[in-house]
Amino acid sequence: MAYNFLVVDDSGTTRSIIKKILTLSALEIGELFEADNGEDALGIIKDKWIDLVFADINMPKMNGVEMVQRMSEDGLLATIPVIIVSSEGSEARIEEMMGKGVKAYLRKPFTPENIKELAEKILKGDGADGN
Amino acid sequence: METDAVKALENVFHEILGKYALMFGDPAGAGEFTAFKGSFVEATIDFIAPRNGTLHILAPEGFCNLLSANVLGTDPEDFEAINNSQDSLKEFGNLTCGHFVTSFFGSSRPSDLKPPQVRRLEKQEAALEEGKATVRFTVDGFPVAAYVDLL
Repeated sequence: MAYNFLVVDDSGTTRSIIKKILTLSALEIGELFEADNGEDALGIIKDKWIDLVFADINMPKMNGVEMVQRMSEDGLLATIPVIIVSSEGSEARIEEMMGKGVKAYLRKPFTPENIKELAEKILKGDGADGN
Repeated sequence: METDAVKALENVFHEILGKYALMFGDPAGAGEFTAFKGSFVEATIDFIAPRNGTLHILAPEGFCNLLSANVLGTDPEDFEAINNSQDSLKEFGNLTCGHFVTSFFGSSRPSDLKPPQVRRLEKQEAALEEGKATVRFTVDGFPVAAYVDLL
């Protein structure tokens, strides 16, 4: 089964890295979408079939916190798993995001293995619910 | 900048440079910047923490190209590395700031980072900024400097 991914980060470098890692993983890739802010990401999510979202927190226009909040308020969007990928590491932030229903919180800098393992766990139904 | 904050920034700088880009820095003196020919780039990241502040990272454009290439797994002359060079410094600053905040203030204290900014500096501006730096390294022959304005 081919999976569609959405990578949301205001850093083009980070988006490139995550996309490369996913392409080289064992997962079958359908389409790889990207956005540099939460608002544009929501537009993509509402328009395309997305199996997994990787999202940063600190972005202009709409940050990851608000994006995840909006997703959680929509019956359909709330079912799409989200992995937060952020440089922030405060316990309050991690608890906040897990409380909003994200599947995992991955702190930058990450390794390719972090991304691959989380994606495979979540998509193959082992879940994550951790960081 | 206080001694504890300088030490925290120094440690985080090395940690992130190694983990993010597989690069390593050697301590450098203040004169390295003024002696370096070429244009400079500065990344700044505002943060909200028990004390608010701004982190600054200053480096030559050549370093940004090399950083970008290392992070993306390509060559500094490649279009992808050149196209992402300033963004790579921004992201390096973003990671350094996030880890500085939890290292210095502790992860149990709430904090928030703003999206990083980047700008190119003229030589005079670069010298002024470098004068405020408390952490200075040479990385693959390039001078890199950093400091935190704590309110």
